[in-house]
Amino acid sequence: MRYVAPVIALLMGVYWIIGGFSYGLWVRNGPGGGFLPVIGGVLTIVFSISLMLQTRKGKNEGAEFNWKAFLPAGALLVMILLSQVVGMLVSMAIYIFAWLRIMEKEGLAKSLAISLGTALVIYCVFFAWLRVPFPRGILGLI
Amino acid sequence: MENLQFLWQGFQVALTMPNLVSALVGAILGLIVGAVPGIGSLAGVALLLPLTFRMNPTTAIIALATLYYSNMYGGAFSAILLNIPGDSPAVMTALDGYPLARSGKAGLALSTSIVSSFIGGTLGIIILTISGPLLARWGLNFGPGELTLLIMFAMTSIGWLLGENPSTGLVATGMGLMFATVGVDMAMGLPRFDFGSVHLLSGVPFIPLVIGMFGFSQVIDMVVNKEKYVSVGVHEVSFRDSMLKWTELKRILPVNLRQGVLGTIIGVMPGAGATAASFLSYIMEKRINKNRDNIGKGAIEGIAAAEASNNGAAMGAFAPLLTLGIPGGGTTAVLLGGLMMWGLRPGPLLFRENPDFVWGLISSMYIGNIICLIIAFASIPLMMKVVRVPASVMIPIISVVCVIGTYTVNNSLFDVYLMIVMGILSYFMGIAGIPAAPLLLTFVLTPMLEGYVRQAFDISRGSLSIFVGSNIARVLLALTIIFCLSPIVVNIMQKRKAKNGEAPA
Repeated sequence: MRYVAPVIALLMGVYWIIGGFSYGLWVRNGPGGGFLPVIGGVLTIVFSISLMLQTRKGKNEGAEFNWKAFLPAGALLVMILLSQVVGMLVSMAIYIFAWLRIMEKEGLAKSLAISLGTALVIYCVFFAWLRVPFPRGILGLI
Repeated sequence: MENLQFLWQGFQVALTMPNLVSALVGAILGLIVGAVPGIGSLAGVALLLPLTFRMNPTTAIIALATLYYSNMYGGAFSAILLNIPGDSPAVMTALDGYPLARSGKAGLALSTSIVSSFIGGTLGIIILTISGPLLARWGLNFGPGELTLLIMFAMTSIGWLLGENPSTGLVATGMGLMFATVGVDMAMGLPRFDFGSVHLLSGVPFIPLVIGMFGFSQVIDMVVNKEKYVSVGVHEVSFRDSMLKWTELKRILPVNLRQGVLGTIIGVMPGAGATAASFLSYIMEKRINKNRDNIGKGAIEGIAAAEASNNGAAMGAFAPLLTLGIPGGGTTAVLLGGLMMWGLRPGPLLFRENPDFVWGLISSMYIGNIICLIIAFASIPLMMKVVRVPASVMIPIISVVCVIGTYTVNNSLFDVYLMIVMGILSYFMGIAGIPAAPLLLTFVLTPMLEGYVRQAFDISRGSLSIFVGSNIARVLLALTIIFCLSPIVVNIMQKRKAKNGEAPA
């Protein structure tokens, strides 16, 4: 899994170089739209290959991959989907409560207090004061 | 010394009850707005502006200006405590502030940032008082050619953030370059690398990128490496423990003085704001400080450099605004709008026709800076409680803060999705050993570099002479070349020394 980021970088580099040439390297009297993309692409390709070789030889220190890394993102995506139904504030409160109960195994009272307390602060600052137009959801809730 | 007399008269204006209250309100709001990720000084000033319609111009501008520079104090709080910079000038503060907080010294990090902000800000106001108009006119000598070289000089310093393995840092630099070229190309007016999405036409938005790579990746790390995040509040319990000791103050004072001055000078230049100032100062300190090896790992000198500089720059931005009517960035543009709304025309005549207004404002900055210092220190005990919250509770709360902070920028869920993607990308970069700092630095500096390079070539019609045309340009070019070559030269000299050391006597 240590190769994922260098491979992504390498693929980006290739795409950016191809795109960069199509935008033109030198236009009129100065650098064109493709000048910096090509430089970025070349830099990334050369050094991501170097990094992958070093990783293969065991010369690069990184860390081990853990599937738990996807949990926060997955949970947030569920929260955002839910917000389309019940509104952002309600879905945030449900998310915090559910995470504390299910993932962190916290007590019912503590989870309720934290989720409702956080929702209250968010409401006061962002909804009441700053009037940020968060999604309301199909049910018309906040 | 005529200015000192005007300043004294200004104090008499600033020390009236309405103006003091207005400074207090601005300071408190600015701290909150600065501390909340996603809402920067621009949003805060824009929100407060309508409320100032009924105030008299001096009181109104005092409130807005205080909000603007107290925002720099607040931005450091979430950077230090949550690794989510409150706004872009606080990004460099997070590099040292968060590791320091994680090692149980959150109070030390906070008090370093507050003291540094105060000293940098005060220096900025003093420079503004003595030579505001002169400095503004000098700032105009920085044309596109000079600004290109300044940014290139800053970019050569990225090497110092590469870490021990240059390949990882250079991959990050290349990625930063690529991300920075997404969006409509300003010179050609054509979209680049937008993948057909309307949301990417203005480029990869900065706040979602930062919150994703710093804040959300922190959440992922908390979930994956939970044992690392046992409560760190045990090291510091009392407010007294979090105060700077004399030895620590002695370490940061020279940093504050030089970076406060540098920050102010950079703030004076139109187009270079507090963000660029904090980056350049941090990099400079990383080069020259005795403790440079620890900068980036939790050194107070790193926090001191970034904070003194961004507060100095916030003050410096008032020089071109008041004397020439040139706003340095978005926030000062809103302030300019406010001035014009009240019927005041910024420029050299402003000092002559409305001295009460101008010197009342400048005097209020001294007072406002002291108010910010007191309120910020008073809020440390509350901030310390944040550090003691267990990771298990912080995870969902920080996640929600990341979502809100990202969403409030453009009211767009696309930004939130982007933030999540950046967080995951940052995680994979982390396990490959690729640092995020060079990516961020390159991302911020590249659009400025590209813009100035093009303007320079347009003016010179393709000739390189613009980059050696003025004394400032020649000095910057020389510095860039020296700093590029110095690691190679130092390496060669070290190898020669080692060879001579091994040779038989």
